[in-house]
Amino acid sequence: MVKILHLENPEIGKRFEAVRSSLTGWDQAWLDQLRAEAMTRFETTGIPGPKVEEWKYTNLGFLANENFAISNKARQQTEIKTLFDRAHMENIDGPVVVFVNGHIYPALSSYPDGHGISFAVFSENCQAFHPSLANIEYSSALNDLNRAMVTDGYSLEIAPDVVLAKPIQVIHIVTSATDMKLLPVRSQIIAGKKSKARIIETFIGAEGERYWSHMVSEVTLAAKAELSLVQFQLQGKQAIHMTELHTKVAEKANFSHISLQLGSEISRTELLNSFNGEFANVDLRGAYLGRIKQSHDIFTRINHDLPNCNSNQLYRGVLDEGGKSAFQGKVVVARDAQKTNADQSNKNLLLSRKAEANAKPELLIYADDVKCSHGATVGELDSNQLFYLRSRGLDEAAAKGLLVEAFVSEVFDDLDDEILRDKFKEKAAGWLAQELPS
Amino acid sequence: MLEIKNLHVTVGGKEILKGLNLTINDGEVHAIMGPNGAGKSTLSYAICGKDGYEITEGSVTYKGKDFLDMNPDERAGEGLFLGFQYPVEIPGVSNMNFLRTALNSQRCYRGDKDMAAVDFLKLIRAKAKELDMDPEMLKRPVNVGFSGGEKKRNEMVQMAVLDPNLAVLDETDSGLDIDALKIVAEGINRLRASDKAILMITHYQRLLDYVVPDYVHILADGRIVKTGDKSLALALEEKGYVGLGITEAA
Amino acid sequence: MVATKEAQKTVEDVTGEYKYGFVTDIETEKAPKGLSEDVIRFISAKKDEPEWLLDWRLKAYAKWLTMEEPTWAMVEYPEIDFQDIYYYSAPKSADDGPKSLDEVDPELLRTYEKLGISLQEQEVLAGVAVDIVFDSVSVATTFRKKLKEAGIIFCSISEAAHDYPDLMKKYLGSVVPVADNFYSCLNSAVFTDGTFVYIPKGVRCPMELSTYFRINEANTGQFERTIIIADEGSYVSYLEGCTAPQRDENQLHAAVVELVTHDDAEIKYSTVQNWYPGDKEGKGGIYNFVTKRGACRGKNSKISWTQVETGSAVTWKYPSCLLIGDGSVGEFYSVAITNNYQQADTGTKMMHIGKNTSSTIISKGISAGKSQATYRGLVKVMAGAENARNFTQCDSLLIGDQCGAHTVPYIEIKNPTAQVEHEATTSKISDEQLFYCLQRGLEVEDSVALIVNGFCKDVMQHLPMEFAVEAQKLLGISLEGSVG
Repeated sequence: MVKILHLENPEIGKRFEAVRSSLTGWDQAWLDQLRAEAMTRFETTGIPGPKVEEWKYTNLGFLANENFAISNKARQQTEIKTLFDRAHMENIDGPVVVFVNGHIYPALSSYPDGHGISFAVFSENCQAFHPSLANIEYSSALNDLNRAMVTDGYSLEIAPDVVLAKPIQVIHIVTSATDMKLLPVRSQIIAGKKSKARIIETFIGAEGERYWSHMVSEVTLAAKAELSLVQFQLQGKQAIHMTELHTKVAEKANFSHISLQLGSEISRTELLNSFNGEFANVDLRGAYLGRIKQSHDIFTRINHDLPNCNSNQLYRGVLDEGGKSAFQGKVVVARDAQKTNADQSNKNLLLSRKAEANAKPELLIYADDVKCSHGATVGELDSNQLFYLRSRGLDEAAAKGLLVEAFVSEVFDDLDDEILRDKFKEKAAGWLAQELPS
Repeated sequence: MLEIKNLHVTVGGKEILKGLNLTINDGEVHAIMGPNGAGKSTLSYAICGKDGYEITEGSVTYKGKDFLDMNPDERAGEGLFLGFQYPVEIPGVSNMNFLRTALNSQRCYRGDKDMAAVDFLKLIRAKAKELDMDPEMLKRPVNVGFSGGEKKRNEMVQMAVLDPNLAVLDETDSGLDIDALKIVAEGINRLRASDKAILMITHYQRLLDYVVPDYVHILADGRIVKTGDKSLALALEEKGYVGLGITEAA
Repeated sequence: MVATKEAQKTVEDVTGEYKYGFVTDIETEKAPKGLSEDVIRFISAKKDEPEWLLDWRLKAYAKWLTMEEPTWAMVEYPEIDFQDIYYYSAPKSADDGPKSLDEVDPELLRTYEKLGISLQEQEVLAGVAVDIVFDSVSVATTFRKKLKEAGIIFCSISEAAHDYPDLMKKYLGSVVPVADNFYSCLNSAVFTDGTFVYIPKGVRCPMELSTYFRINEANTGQFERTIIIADEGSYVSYLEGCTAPQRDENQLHAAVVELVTHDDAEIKYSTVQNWYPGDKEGKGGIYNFVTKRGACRGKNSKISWTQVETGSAVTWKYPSCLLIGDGSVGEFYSVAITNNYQQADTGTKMMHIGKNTSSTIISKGISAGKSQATYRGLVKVMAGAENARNFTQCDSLLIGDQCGAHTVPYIEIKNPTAQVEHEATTSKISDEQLFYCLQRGLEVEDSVALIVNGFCKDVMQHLPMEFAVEAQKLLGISLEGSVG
């Protein structure tokens, strides 16, 4: 009775062969070869099935059963503009990079430039992505599929000592075109020594569309660099949204990631970090709100291979009617990684009978002089708090809304940017207003 | 203002109030005293409409309206305020935000417009100052990390801001030192007016030294068994419940 | 880090030198090495079992052949050759069945005396009935008469198959199904002995029931099967303790324990596991793959597992509770201490199925030497389990920088009224703590023992008195009383 661990879909390989000669950079032999190699690896590995521990809570069955095609460069300008306006924070006066259906959309973009900033887009400069495509250190079935099919992406390199005054906004838009399904996008970010930057990524898509947005990001921080990556996930309710983020953080560098998961039917956020130097800090936090068939999966792995590093994870989930979530956080502290501080906190609020929350906060520790802890809770709203608020005149919906907002606000209360903080609140409150019974 | 007739309340299948009658008119201050387990807190929760406090018989009428038909927030909108014996902690919600939401919810219920942010800020600062509360505490989450006295003071600030017609104060004086007690008493006295009423539930006579009630009732075994003026509280202090012929199971 | 080195030494003193390492020389009767239908028939014939039980075993064997060893636990060991194991061995004298202690092989009795569990003494000592398993067959049962008067059945599983076939048929495999997992399936095919307990309605068992298991014969697998049923309103406390002689070959142990509580009944199951952990180089030691599960079938019933795990080279063990009856309660209190090359992957599963069910998990892991200790636990609240409550606390203490402590909790909640809390910390004995003790005049070993004891206190207090002493010895905390 051998368990079937991996699923297969031979159609994927066939489709790759069919579109191979029309993929971005098809005329460059090195790229075509790397794509083909990645596809071979993908086909050899297969699609991780539900018996694969890492995919216990997100079923990739859709990948075996549905056939996704590479998207075309759709051009419904009004729709693009509407979605863009919903995502774009115009009061942040900085560069904007817009992708539509997995392809760069120059009309709404203003690339980051200036002293010490090298910015490139895959479809305009494939060569810039050679390192990330050729380096198979980060190998996984879905990463390989992304490598094989990648349509576009961006590369950002910040020179040492350069401080970006304004955050860079990256907006990924998916329109309601019927001919596209798969959006494999990549990014690579290199933050030079003592550089400082913030990138705000927003994923937004049309309602009623089945598409699979898959993004792989590789981020490297040099010593004392500071990088903040903020992600808003506002995909359409039938979308599949996946991000795979690899970070390498050098000595005394600080990396922070904040995400808000609101959209999509299935979302999966993978955050995989390793430290390259001591006294570095990684802070991962996020809120996920789910209902009706929605499933959010946060999957983190932080490898503490070196001493004196800190990692902090803080995730808050709110699940309403039909929503489902998983937090799978893993901290691995290697033998020599003394004086490691690692904390994981995951709290979930169930608002409905048909909601489900799963948590697996894992600690694997091989060093003795460390401070590691984790906490996870699942529960409903506190009836005493609810009554207290109602006795002061708040109706049920308002009282619940206030408590839920307070519950998730822990995630973004410490953000140093008020515009962003308000955006988080606005988006979260919008979800609550929409969903809570009045 | 408030008329309670033959009120029977069951909690968890057990009858706690067994036919309580109480009438409070405009401008009056009533105090209810009674031994442990007499049903004092049950009375306050029943008036405010907490879940789990089942009214099996009787009526609660407020300004001619049937209170029992209303949700807790509707009753608050009508001008009812409950000072909690154990004010609830709400992490993540700032005092300021909480009060503003509450005030505007009540105004909305009464058909008034939201209070402008600037006016609200002025109002709350003034009330905090009156009650000697550190303005920094307004920014902190509701009651989180507050001492017992600070929580009670916070209840008084809320009461002052929300300006209710009827305040039910459930052991607002318990656990307070003398200075805090004076401040709380002052908060209550500030509310006294000809068109308002106050119902104080208390264990001890000492609060009544500072807030002199018009009526004192003794609640025992789910009913009001004795009614008098301030002197009843003093007699009680002197002789105890047993001395007044009231036993726990009276 | 002088302190840490000395701390390590203390832990070695506690767990390292195995003082029960001697071999008793008794003629044994063995089935041929390896596993086959014939061996199963041999075991069944030896036990003079009814036909249905043989069939049950054979079905389990057929199923087992299709299964694979689980690999998900954080333990590593050389592949087990299941054909290189004796599945049955019994002291020869057992064939005749000793009627009293006088008939028991004196060599065997002397073994127990060396271990400090003299039967004669225990008969006299207050309230402990002992069903001793030496390798795979019961050799003596005491206090049976007294228990019989209370209507309690306390006998070996083989006897139960003969004397109480209806109860056996009803409960065998009812909590741990045959195909539950690889090892439980193996056990179902080849179990040789174990204990059967039935507490009738309304009876409070007048004494702690206790069984000492010993593994004696080289290359002999131990496949105990224990069933305890607490009928409505009854109560029993069951003690399981283990010590095993030193051997070089690894010995396999795959026991199955099934507990059932009916309405308002309670079972308290305590274990002190002190099997041979292997030597300092990681040679030898017991492989302990145990399936323990209790079903709270009745309303307001309760199952409480307490374990102190100090032995075995490899431990794979998850005493679990199925909280089916409304208002039922599950508890798991565990201390797992590993040293040298020991590996322990242990924890629990709490399945909340009925309404108003609650569970508590307190797990304390202490790793020293080059050992690895893993807590692996599942708290699951099903959609219908209104108002389920769980509190989980798992703490790990590391002594030395060559060991590992891991926490792998799973929390799966499908009902909004659930309140589930999980907390975990990992720490070492702090220099400040140690210094504080030293400054107050304690020696290093005593200080470590004291701190370790304090660390484990929440669990140790749940052990019955009879066991607490032994467990405290095992943790090297004999000074606790004098230091306060």
